[in-house]
Amino acid sequence: MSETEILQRRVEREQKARKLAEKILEEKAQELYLANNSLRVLNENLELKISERTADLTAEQMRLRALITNLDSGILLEDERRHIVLVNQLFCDLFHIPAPPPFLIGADCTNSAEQSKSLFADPEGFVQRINEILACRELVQNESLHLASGQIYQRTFIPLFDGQRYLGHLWKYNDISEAVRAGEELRRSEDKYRGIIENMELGLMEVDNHGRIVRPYPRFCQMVGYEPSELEGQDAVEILLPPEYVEVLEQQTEDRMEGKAGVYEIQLRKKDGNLIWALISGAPIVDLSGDIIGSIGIHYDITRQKLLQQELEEARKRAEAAQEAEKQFLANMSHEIRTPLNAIIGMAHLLADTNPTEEQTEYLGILKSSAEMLRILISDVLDLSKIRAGKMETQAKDFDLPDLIRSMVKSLQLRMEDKPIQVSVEIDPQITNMVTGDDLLLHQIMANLLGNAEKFTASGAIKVQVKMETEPNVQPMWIKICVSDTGIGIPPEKHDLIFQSFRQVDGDTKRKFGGTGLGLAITKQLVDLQGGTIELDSDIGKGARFTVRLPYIDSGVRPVSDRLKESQQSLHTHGKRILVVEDNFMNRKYIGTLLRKWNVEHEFAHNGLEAVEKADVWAYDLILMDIQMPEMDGYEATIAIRAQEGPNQNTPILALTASAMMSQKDKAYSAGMDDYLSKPFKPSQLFEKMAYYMGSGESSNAAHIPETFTFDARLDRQMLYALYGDDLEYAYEMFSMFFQTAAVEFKDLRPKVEAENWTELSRLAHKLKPSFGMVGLCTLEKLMDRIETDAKGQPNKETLQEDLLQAEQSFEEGSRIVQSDLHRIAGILKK
Amino acid sequence: VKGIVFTSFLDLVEEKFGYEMVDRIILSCELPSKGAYTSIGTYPHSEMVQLVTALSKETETPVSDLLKVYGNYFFPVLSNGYPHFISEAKSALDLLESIEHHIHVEVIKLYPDAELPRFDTKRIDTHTLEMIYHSKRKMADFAEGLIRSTFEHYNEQVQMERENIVDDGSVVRFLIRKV
Repeated sequence: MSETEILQRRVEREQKARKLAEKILEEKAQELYLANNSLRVLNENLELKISERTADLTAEQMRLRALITNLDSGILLEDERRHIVLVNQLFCDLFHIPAPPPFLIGADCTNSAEQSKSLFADPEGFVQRINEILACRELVQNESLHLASGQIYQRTFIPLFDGQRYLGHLWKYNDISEAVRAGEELRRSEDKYRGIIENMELGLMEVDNHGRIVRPYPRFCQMVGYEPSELEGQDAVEILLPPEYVEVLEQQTEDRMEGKAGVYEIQLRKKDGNLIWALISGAPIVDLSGDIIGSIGIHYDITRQKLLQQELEEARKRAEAAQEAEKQFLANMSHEIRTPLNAIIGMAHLLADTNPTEEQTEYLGILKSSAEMLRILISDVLDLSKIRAGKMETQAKDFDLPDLIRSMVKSLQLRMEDKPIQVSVEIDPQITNMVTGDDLLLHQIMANLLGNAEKFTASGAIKVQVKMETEPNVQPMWIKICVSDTGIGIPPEKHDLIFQSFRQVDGDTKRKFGGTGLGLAITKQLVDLQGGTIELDSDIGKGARFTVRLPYIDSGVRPVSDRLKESQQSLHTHGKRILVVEDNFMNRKYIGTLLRKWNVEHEFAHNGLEAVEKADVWAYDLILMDIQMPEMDGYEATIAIRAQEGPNQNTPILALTASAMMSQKDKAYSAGMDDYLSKPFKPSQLFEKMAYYMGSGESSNAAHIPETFTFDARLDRQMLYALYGDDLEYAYEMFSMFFQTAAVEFKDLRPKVEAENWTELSRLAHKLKPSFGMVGLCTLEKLMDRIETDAKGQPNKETLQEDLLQAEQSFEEGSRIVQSDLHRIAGILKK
Repeated sequence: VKGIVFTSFLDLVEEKFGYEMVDRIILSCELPSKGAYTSIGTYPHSEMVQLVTALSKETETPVSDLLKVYGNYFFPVLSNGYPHFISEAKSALDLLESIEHHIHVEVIKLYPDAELPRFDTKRIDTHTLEMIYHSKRKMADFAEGLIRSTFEHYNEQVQMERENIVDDGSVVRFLIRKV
């Protein structure tokens, strides 16, 4: 192998290697170029991003810079070497730096405190404090700085750290002179008003939310007798409030916390222990941020007013007591005067029956008329006081209005017989039924009007007209009553006057005609009381016409024939006994004489207790019962008699009352009395009542007079009168039939209940119901109705048994009464 | 295998035995590259094995010795050619420690297709380093030559123990102590 060949192979190898290397290099160059290209693009993108970021940062920085520059505070931002990074115009203004802020950036502040210290009231203090702050590198907020010029700055120092690294700090200065001045002015203004309030004797006190006294004002301190220092910081409730007002104050405090103001009255305890009354107006105190930080109370000492108020209250109570005493006095007077008056009138009547001489008769006449006048006078005064006290009440009952008017007119006619006065009456024939209303009040009205006409009419006519103003069947029915006379008349200008109390047309009238001047006033009030009206049509010399309009209810019931008048002549007393219960000797004598005159057997009891004892032993046909008596009064005695199963349990009891108060009448009825007679009464009044309650009995000398019959009081009289009127034969027939049918069938009820045969029970009760009504046993009628209804619906055996038991008891008693009445009717019919 | 390994190897052969020996071993082998190597090219490992084996036959010297000598010869090639790779290491042990996580990382950046051995290192103490060689090429001898020349480069003395962790020589532990 030659050297040449080796060399040739070497060259070939090297050429080949070089070409390969060139090829690789070319490829690498290509790669490099491409890589370079992509690098460039990458770089460009990067640059774009950086410039974008830079722009953002610059904008952000601008914004922050603008913000700081325009802040409403002087701002100085220094770096860690105390070179200025940022400062705003306001800062330059505050520190009187003439250079514009941009020029100051980068300036060294090391010496700045020294340069501006002359602005401050305490220059060395200013510098010293700046150095302190810088040394501490801690946040300092809102320090106040007083300037030599009197201005006040507020300073805040904010150190800036990046982690542990100190970056610099920020100074913030504000001129707060205005705010401080405004605050002071406000305080001065508040003080001014507080001063005014204090001068107005209003004590102010401020407490915090825990009730601690924050600020007691001088006037308040005077009020409660403490020094301000003794009150400050104290618990207001503890030191000033009596325990009974703690609750009141707690409520007020609650209101305050809700922002509500309030006014209240409480007592406060002074330092010396005395109590004062205070009127307090409390309001919440609100700070600048709107939070309630306490409350302020304005105290007004009302102790004197309170005392006055208490005195007034006592005075009022005394006055009321006096008024009450006056009423009591009137009621007593009623009793005290009427009782002897009753005796006087009675005795006068009795004397008249003793064949007096002509002279004595004349005197008796004067005595009677004077006593009568006195009675009227007292009645008037009492009526008026009753009306004024609101004690006069209306009481509705059925009565025969035409009859009432007629009888009153008739009585007037009798009185006028010997005078040249014609008395007439016209009554609307349409008024056929009894009316429901207050007959007593109408009686009084008519008595007054007729009395008035009688008094002022010397000659001519007195005319009464009664007219129904509404159509029949209209409720209420209005009835017009005119009373006209041909008397002296009343001038129109006095028309209003005469309806007033104690007023008459003139003094002359009073002298000439007498009277209390109360009659017409009472009349008007009685008319008003019933919802009616009264009018006057009159003139001097032309007479007078009074027109009264009153509302009544049509009762739908026809009046029975005039029993009272009939009975007046048919009082037959043979075998009848009356118990007179009366504690007053004069009255006993009066009544006793009358009864002897009428041949009525009677005995006396001197008080309620005695009456009860007698009633327990003897049977009476009527008891006359005084009310006000020693030992036991009339009410109690009546209750006792009604309660004991003696012979007089059902005997009619007639109350003799001295007081005309409606409440006493009510009391009489509820005690179990049947009727009343108001003292003083005339013999005829007593006679009428006796005739009504005792009936005629077995008359020996009056058989020719048509008999009337009074049903037993325990039966439904009104219904029985409505059914039978005076037709006793019809009543007899019905009563007899009751015993033949209903009384027998009633016994069939019990087996039906026991057998629970409800249908039959209901049917039978239905059938029996009207039979009981026909004999006036309304309780049984109602019970039958109940049994019928219950048996028809959802029957309950127990309930029905109870009802039946009640019905049986009622039946036993009721049938006895009906039996007795049937016998009495039979007795009458026999004649 | 990077071309520089071949060109340096042939340079060493020419230097020691003359180009005739180079020509001889190239001709005795079946080389796809026909023995035309450029330092920036990349060639199959099998060519290197053939060349070393051929030289071993021609010179009657064991392959392991040849590789150790070649490793010794190759270090200056690297240190002169790529001085910035080793400039930061202040001592031989520093350099050895930095091979896996610094030098090889940079080599891969330059030659993404380079196939490099892996070295796991552990400092036993200040002067002792355990170094474990992993490579399917099984050229721990070449590595040993390089390690020794590293110490020469820093003028340091070294004591070295070597043991196969895997018998075929693919994983080898060096315990290197600076003396």
